[in-house]
Amino acid sequence: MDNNQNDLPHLGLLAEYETPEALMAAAEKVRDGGYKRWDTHTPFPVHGIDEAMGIKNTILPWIVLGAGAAGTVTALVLQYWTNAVAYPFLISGKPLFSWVPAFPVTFELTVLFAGVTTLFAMLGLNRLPRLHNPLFNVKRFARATQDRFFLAIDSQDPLFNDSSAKALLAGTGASAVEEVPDDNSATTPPMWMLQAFVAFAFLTFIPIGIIVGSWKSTSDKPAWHFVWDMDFQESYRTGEQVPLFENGMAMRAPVEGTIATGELFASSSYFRGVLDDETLDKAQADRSASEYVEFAPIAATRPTLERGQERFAIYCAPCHGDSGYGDGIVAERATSLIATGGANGWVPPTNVTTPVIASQPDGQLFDSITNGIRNMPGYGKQISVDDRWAIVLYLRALQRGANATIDDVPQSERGGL
Amino acid sequence: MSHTMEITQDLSPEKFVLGARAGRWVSKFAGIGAIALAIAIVLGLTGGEATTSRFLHAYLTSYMYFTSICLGALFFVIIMQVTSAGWSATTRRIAELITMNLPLMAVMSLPILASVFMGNATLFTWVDPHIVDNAKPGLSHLIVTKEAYLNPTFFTIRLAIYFLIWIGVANWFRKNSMAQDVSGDPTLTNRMKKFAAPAIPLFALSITFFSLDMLMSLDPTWFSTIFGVYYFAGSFGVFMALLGILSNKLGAEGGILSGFIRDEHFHDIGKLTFAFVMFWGYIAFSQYILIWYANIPEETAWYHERENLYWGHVGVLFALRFAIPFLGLMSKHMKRVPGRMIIFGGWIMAMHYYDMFFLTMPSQIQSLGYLEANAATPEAAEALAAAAHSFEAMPFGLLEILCLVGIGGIFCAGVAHAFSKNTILAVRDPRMTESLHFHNP
Amino acid sequence: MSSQYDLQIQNEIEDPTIRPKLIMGDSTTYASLDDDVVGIVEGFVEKTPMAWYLMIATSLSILTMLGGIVAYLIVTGVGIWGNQSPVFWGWPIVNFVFWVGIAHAGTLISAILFLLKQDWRTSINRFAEAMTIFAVCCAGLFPGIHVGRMWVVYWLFPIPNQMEMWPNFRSPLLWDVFAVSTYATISLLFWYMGLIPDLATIRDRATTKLRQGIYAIFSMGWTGSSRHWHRYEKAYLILAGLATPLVLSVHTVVSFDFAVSQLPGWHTTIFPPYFVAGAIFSGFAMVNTLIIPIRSIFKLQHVVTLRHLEVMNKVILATGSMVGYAYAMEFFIAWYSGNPYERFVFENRAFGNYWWAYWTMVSCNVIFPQLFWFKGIRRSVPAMLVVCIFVNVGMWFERFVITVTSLSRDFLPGSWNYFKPTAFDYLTFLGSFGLFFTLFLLFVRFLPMIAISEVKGILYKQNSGH
Repeated sequence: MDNNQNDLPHLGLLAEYETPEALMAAAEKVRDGGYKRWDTHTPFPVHGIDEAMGIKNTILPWIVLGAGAAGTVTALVLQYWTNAVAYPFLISGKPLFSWVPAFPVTFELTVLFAGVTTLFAMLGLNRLPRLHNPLFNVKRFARATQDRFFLAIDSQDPLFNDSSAKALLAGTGASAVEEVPDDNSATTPPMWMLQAFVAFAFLTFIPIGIIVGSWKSTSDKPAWHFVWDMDFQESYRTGEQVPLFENGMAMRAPVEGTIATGELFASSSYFRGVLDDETLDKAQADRSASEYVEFAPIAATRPTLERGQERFAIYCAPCHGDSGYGDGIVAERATSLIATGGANGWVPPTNVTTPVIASQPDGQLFDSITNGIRNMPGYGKQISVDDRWAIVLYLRALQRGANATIDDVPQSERGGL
Repeated sequence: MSHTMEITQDLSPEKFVLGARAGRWVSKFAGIGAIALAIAIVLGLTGGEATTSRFLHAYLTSYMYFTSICLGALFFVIIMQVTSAGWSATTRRIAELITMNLPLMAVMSLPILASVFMGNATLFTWVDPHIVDNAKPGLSHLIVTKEAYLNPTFFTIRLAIYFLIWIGVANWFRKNSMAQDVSGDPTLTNRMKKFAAPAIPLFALSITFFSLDMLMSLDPTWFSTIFGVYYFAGSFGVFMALLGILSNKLGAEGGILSGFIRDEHFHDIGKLTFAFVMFWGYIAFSQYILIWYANIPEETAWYHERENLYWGHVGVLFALRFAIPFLGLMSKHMKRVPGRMIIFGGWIMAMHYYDMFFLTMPSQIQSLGYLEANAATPEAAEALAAAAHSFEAMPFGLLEILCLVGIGGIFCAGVAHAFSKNTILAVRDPRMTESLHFHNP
Repeated sequence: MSSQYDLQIQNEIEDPTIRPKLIMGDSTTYASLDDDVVGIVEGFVEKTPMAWYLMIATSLSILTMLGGIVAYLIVTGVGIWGNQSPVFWGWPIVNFVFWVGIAHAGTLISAILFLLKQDWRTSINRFAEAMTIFAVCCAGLFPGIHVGRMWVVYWLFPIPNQMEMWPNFRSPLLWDVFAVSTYATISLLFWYMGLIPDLATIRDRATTKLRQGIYAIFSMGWTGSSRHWHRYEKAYLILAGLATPLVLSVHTVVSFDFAVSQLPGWHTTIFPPYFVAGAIFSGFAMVNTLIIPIRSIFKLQHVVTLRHLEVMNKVILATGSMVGYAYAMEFFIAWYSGNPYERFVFENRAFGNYWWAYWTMVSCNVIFPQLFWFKGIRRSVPAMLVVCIFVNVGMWFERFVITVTSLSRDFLPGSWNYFKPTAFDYLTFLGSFGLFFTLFLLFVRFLPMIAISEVKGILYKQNSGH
C-alpha cells in the first residue's frame, strides 16, 4: 500500500477472519466485486485461495529455467576454456575436454544458478525485503503470522469506495473490520543509514584492492615463510660434509655396476654403430676392418624403408634434398643468397649419393647422423635409434637409385621411361 | 480422512471386467506372436552357427525386455503396499494383472535354457567347454574361477528359484487383493503391507542375480557391481511408462476406468516415470564414468565393444534413453494433460528395448570368437570370422524384429487374457476414496 | 485425559481406511503450537536454563581446542596426523565423508519427502535441515585443513591467479569442491527460505524492541500475503525439485573421489548409489539420535510423535539393508570377478589386520538395524536410541574401512603398513563435534526448531478432514 494520495483518512481496510474457510468465502466476494489492489494474509498457505483470489501463475519457473540454462552454459564454457584452451594440461591420458568428466560440475553449477535464483527471484517478485509496511501499524495484524486470517483492500484501488467496501467486508462474516491508519513516517531511510551503507561499501573494496595490488606488483623481499619446517627442511645437500658416514659424504656411492636409468647401451653396434670392444680389438690388431659395423643391425623391410623415407624427409631433406643430392631448400636459399653476396662461409651440404659416401659402412653413416660431422649437427637426441638405422637403410636405397642403370628397371616398366 | 468425501461411482466388480473387449485380442496377439517366433526359430536354426547365435541374442534381448516389464509391475505392487500409498489404489490392479505374465515368461525362458545345454558358445560363452583355452590371452584366469557359479546346472536351478519367488510373491499379493474385492476386509491391506516389507529384499536379490546371470554373464570376463541396480532401474521405468500409456487409455473418456484414473494419477505416474528416467540415467552414467575414468582393460573392453563396434558413442544411448524423456517430462503439463504420456511412455518403452539391445547384442562378437576357435572345419571358421567382421553395422534386422514381435505378441496375449477375465480395479480398496479425491500440490 | 488417549490411538492406528493424525493433543491449536515452539525461543530469553550454559560452555571449549589444533596444524604441517605412506588419506577424509553423509538427511527430508507428499516430514524437517548445514560446516573443515598450505586453498576454485593456472576440471576432487559448496549454499537457502515465515511469527510475538528488530530484519517484512505465499510455494517446489538430484549428486561425487581410481576396494561401480544410501542411513540415524532427547527436553512429543520416530526407523531399516546389499554385492563380485587383487582386498577386509573395524561396521550397519523389523523395537525410544548410536558409529567405521584397509595394502607389498592415528587425529575429530554442537545449541536457542507454518498447514488439514 503506497502513501495516501486521495483524501481518505486511512490507507485501506483490514478484515479479520477466524478460519481459512471464512477468508476464502470473503476472498471470492471481493474478487467478484472487481477489486484489483487487495490481498489476503494467512499464517500458512491456504490451498484454494489462489483460485478464490484469482491469482495468476507466477513466472518464477521461467526465470529459474533461464538461470539454470545460464549455469549449464557457464559451466561448459568455464571447463572448456580453462582446461582445453587457456591451460591445456594432459592428465592420465584423458582428453582435454569430454562430456563425461565435465558432467558433474555442469550439473552442480546448473543447480547452483537455478537454486540461488529461485530464492532471490521469489523475494524480488514479492518485493521483499520490505521492512516498512503500513499494515504493521494495525495491532491485530500481528496475528496474521500466528492464528488469524486477514483480508486487506487498498484504498488506491480504482473501485475503492469507503462505505461500499466497508459494507462488503461487513457482509463476509469478518470478526473485525478496521481501517489501516495513514502512515506519516518517512518513506526514505534516514541519511545516516545511507552514509553508513556507502562507507561500508567503500570499505569492502579495500581488502580486494590490496589483494589485486599485491598480485600485480613485484617485490624484492623474500617470501613469507608460513611453515618453517616445510621451507627449511633438515636434509643434506649433495657434496655437503656430514658426520653420519665414515667418508663424510652426504651422498652415498651407488652400488657397483649401477647404471643410470635409460643409459644401458648394452649393444654398441646397435646403439652406436661401432663394433664392441672385443671385436674391435681383434679388428684393429690385424687392421683388416674399420671400427664401424658393416651392416645395419635391423632388417631392411618395406615398413622400415618407408619409415626411413619419412624420417629422411623430415630431418635430412631440408638440406640434403629429397633425393640426397645436397639440393634441399636450405641449400637453394643459401645459393641464392651467395649470388647476391650474402651467406658468407656457407658450406654446401654433401651429396650423399656419391661413391665416397656409398662406400662408407652402415655404422659410419649411423655415427654421422648421431653425432654430426663437420657443419652438420648430431641428430642423436631427436631421432630414435631405430629411426636412425631406418634412415641409413633408406640412404642405401637413394644411393642405389642415383647410380641405377637401365638394367635395374624391370622389363615391363621400361616403356614408361 | 474420508468423512467429508464420498464415492459417487458405482463400484460393482462386474462393471470392471473388460471381457470380450480385451478377450478378442488374445488369439490375434497369440497367433501373430507364435507365427513370428516360429519363423524366427526356423531362420535362426537353419542359417549356420553365426545365425543361431544372432537369433539367440535377439531372443534374449526381447525376452529380457518383456520380463523387465513384469518385474517392474511386481515391484510396483510391493512398493505401493509397503508405503501405504493411497493415490495408486485405482491403478494398482493393472500392475497385479501384468504380473500374471510371469509364469508365461518362465516358459519363454526355455530356448535360453536349451542354449545353455547345447555345449557351445552360441549365447553364453561360459558354456564353451574349452573356454579357458580359447579365451583371449590373460583373461582365462578371470573365467576359470567362476565355474562353480557359471555352469548349466546351477544356472537352471537359480532361474527356477527366481521364477518361483516372483510367481509366489505376485500370486500372493494378487490373491489377497482380489479377495478384498469380495470381502472388502481392510485388514487384508494391513496384511499385505506387513508381507510387502520382507518381499523387497527377496525381490532385490532375485532381480540382481537374474540380471547377472542373463545379461552380465554374456561376457564372463566382465563384472560390474551396479549391474543389478541398472537392470532394476530400467525395469521399473519401463513399467511406469507402460502404466502411463495403459492408464491414459483406460482412464480416457469412455474408457473402463474413466473417472477413476484422473489427471492427478497421470501426474503421479508421470512423476514416477520421470524419476526413474533420471534414476536410470544416474545409474548408467555412474557405471560408465567409473569404467571410463579408471580405464582398466578388463572392464573397458565391455564398453569398447559397444562403443567401437556399433554406433560410436554411449552418449547416443544417454541422449535417447535419458536426455529426451528427461526434457520432455520436466513440465507439469506433459505429465498431466491426458494423452501426452502416451507419446513419452512409448518413447521410453522403445528406448528400453534399445537399452536391452545395447546390453545383449554386442556380446555376439564374443560368441562368434569362441565358436570360431572351436569350429570343426576351416570353412566354418571363416564364415564365423566373416560374421564377426560384418559387426561394424548395427545388426537390427529381420531376426530381431521377429523375436520382438514374437515374444511381444505372446506377452500382449497374456495381458489381454488377464484383463479380459479379471476386475481391473481394486473395487473395495480401503484407500479408494483417497485415490479418487487427492490433489497434487 | 480420555480424549488425549483417543488421539494417541489415532496417531498409532493401523487402519487403512483413515490416515493417522500426525499432530497429537486435543488442545493443539495454531496459537498453542506457537506457544510450544516459539515459546522455547522466548523462554530461553526470560530464563535460559543452566544446562544450556553448561552445554555451550563445553562445546565452545572443544571448539576452542579445535581452533588451537588447526593453528598448530598450519604452522607444523599435516605430519601431526597419522597419515603416512601408504595411507595418505587417513582420518581427515574419513571424517569428511562421515559428516557429509550425515548432512544428507536434512535435504532429503525437506526435498524428497516433500515431492513424495510425505506430510510427516513437517515435524522434523527444520531440525534436520539445521543439522544438515552444521554437518556440512564440519565436513568442509576437513578438506580445507588437510591440504597442508591452507593459505592457498583458493587454488581449489577457478579464480584467476598470478600463475595463470586453472584447476583441473577432470579431477573428481574438484567436482567435490563444486558439489559440496553447491550443496552447502542450496541447503542454506532452502533452510532460510523455510525460516522466513516462522521468523515473522517470532517477530510478531516479540515483547521487546530488540528481539522484534532482529527478527524483523531476518524475516524481511513477511506478512503472509497470499500473493507471496503463491510464489513462495512455487519456489519451495522448485527448490525441492533441484535439491533432490543435488542431494544424490553430492555423495555420488564423494564416492567418485574413491571409485574413479584403480585401487581394488575403491574402484567398484556400485559406489555411487551405495554411498548415497549410506549417507541417508547415517543422516537419519543422527536426526533420531538428536531429536529423541530434544523432543522430551522441550516437550514436543505431540509434534514429533512416536509415529514420526517409527517412520524414521523404517527408513533406517530400508537404507541399512541397501547398504548391506552393497556390501554383499562387493563381496560377491570380488569373488565372481576372478581378479586376484579384488579378492585379496575383500578377504583382507574381513580377516586381515583391520578385521575389527570391518566387523564393527557390519554389525553396526547391517545387523543392528535389522532389529527394526520388530515393531516393539521400532517403537521403543531407548532401544531405537541405542540402535541409532550404533549406526552412527558403524557409518564412521565404514568410511574408515574403505579408506584405510584399501590403502594400507596397496599394489606394492614393500610399502604395506599399519595405519596408526595420532592424538591429533582423535582431537580433530572430537573438535568437529565441538563445532557441530556449538552451532546446534545456538540454533536451539535462537531459532524455531519446528517448521511452524508447515505444521499449521498439517493441523488445518487433519482438523478439517482434507
